[in-house]
Amino acid sequence: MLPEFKQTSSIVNHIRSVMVVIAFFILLSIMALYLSSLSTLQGLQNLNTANNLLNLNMQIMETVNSVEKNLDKLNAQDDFSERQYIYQTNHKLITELMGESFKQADHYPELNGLLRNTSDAIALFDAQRKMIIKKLLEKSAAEGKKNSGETMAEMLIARQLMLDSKESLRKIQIYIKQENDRKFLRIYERRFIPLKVTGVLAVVFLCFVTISGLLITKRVSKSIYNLLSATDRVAEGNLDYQVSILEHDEIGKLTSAFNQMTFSLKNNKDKLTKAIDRTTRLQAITAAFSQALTPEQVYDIIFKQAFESLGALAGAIVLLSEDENNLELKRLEGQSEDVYLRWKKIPLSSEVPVSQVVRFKLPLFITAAELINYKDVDINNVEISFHSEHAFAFLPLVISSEAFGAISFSFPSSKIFDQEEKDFLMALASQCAQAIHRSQLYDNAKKAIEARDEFLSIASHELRTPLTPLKLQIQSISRQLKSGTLETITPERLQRMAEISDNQINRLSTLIDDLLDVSRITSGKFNFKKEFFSLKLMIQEVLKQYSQQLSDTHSVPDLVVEQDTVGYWDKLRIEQVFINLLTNASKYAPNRPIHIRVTNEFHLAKIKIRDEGRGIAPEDRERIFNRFERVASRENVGGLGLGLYISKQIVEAHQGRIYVEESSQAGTVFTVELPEEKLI
Amino acid sequence: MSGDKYVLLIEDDLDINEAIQSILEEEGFKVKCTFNGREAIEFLKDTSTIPSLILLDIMMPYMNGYEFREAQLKEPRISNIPTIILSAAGKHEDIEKLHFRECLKKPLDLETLIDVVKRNINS
Repeated sequence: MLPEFKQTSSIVNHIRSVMVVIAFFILLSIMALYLSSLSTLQGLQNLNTANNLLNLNMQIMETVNSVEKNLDKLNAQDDFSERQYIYQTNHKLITELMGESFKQADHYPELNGLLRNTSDAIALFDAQRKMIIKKLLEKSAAEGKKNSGETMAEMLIARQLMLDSKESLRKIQIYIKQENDRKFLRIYERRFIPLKVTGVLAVVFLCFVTISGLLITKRVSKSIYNLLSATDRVAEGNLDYQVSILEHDEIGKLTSAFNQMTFSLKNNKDKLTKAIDRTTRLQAITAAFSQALTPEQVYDIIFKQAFESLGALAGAIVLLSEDENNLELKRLEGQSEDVYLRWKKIPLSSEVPVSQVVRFKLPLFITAAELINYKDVDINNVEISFHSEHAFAFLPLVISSEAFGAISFSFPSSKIFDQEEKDFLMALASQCAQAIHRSQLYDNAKKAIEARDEFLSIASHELRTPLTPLKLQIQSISRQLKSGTLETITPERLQRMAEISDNQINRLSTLIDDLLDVSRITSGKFNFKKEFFSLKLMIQEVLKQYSQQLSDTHSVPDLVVEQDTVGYWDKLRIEQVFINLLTNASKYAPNRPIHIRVTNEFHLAKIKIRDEGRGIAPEDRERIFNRFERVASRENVGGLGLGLYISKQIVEAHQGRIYVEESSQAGTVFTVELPEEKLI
Repeated sequence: MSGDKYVLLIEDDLDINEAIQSILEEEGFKVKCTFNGREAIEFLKDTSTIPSLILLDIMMPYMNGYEFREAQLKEPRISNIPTIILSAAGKHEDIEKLHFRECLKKPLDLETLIDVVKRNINS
């Protein structure tokens, strides 16, 4: 799995921050513009104030001039009261103008002093003038028009004051003018400041926007290019490539998601590739199986595939025995002979993995460590130490929901049995099961055909054999008839010829019966009609029936019934077995007694037939029960050599046993054992 | 007929053995009867006069006809004796390989048997 992605930054947030900064800049610019404009406006306002002040100054000057003129005319005393009135009007005007000037000159502290000087001078002048007026009024009241010396001095002072105030006013005028010029100059000089401020701000802002834009773009484009190149690689089919995450932002998140996608794509692709690979392998196996006919060929393919494609180190195939009680080891690969011998036969009930797999029809995937959990697995065995580094797969072989065996493979312990691997092994096991089953069917069919061919070949041989003497005898007679030498044949010779011919016809007749029996046995159509009967009575009946034949060979039957058994068997077939053994004894050991004993030991009925012939060599005792075998051919014994074979089949079909016993006495002892069968 | 010429008959079936013997003897041939390959080989090892012709059955106990023939061919003293198969079996794939002179199929025809014996015993 890929590491989980954690987003620690965001492009959107970046852009948002830049936007906030831009807005802040805009606000700042507006403020700067406003502030710089405000100072210009203030400057203009100051200029205006200065102009007002200048106007006021001019008016004051004019008024002062008019007051001065009035003062000169005061001496003339004509129309005094009228002048008084004009003066007072003027004075009032000056006071008002001064007040106005003071108001206007708030921003000019230097001007205030001058204005105050002017105002003081005017106030002094006013006081002086009032004093003059008063003295003039007193003088006019006392002396009339004369006496103007004192008044004159007063007048001079007043004039002086007047001049002072005029001086002050002029200074003010100059100051204002200077100030005005200076202010105007300053305003003029500063006329570009708002523009400059705005310009600088705009440039800074532009730079900031450009740089942040470029940075973001670069970052984003780098990430996107990174992602794009990855998509190209993926498009080319390179799924192993994982894009490196440059930034932990949205594109980082996208990249991580892309990586995740590629990863799962790769996983899916891997799975798909594996699945295709497995299907191909299964197909190859199926194809190989289709070429295999015999179980051995199938086993060869299974192990070849297991070792080459699956990497198995060892393997075994076990199949259920015919009685279904054991598992028989059919093939063991990658293991020693020693192991083979130990596991050759495994009881189905034993607690080992293979038995369990067959019993439960379920696969088992275990490690060597888990192997010791099975009761019947000997942990000290060599194969355990051999397997200590192994992992095992035990797979049932199932056909039509019946398990008929199992396959086991051992792998290096690093083998991982994931679901896919398990599924594949199960599919393989299923294929193997079908192939093995098919090959068994083939094998059985082949064996059946071989058996049939052999049967036909032997049957034809055996049928032709009695025909040969028959034909020769008849042709001999016919030849002598033709040559007219029939008379030369002695009656004894003729008698012998007739005997031989009769013998051959009997042989043919028994042969046909026997062949029919063998045919029934090989085709599995040996049907039994079971009934309860007494062995003793059956034997007595047969001895009676065959008394003539027995006396022909001078055989003397000697029946001893120690314990009779009434069993549930096919009477005619058991009779057939007995007759076969009896006639064999009479044929192979004529002129001798035949000892027949009937016993019952532990619910096992036994018939023992002992002749006093030459006996059968120990190495032949098994062989004689095979098809087409005869004890010997020296004696004139007819028959196909099928009698004992058929007898054996009959007895075994009754779950019994027929065998030649080791005997201390002379001759041969045939023993037939029949389990005392009850009604089934 | 030359006195020391005789036919060795190897046939397990007593009736066939007897029938062939009597017919050949009637025709004036001497016949030595044996009943399987093993017996015949033992006889051939011991005898001072080897037979002029061998009539050999195939399906016999102890040593069948093919086994007898293989053993015979290994013995230079007897390997050149003309050998004729008497067989009821249909398959004769070993006939070529084992250089049998002729093959008579059972049931035997009397005239053919006499003819074959006559032709081969003097060759």
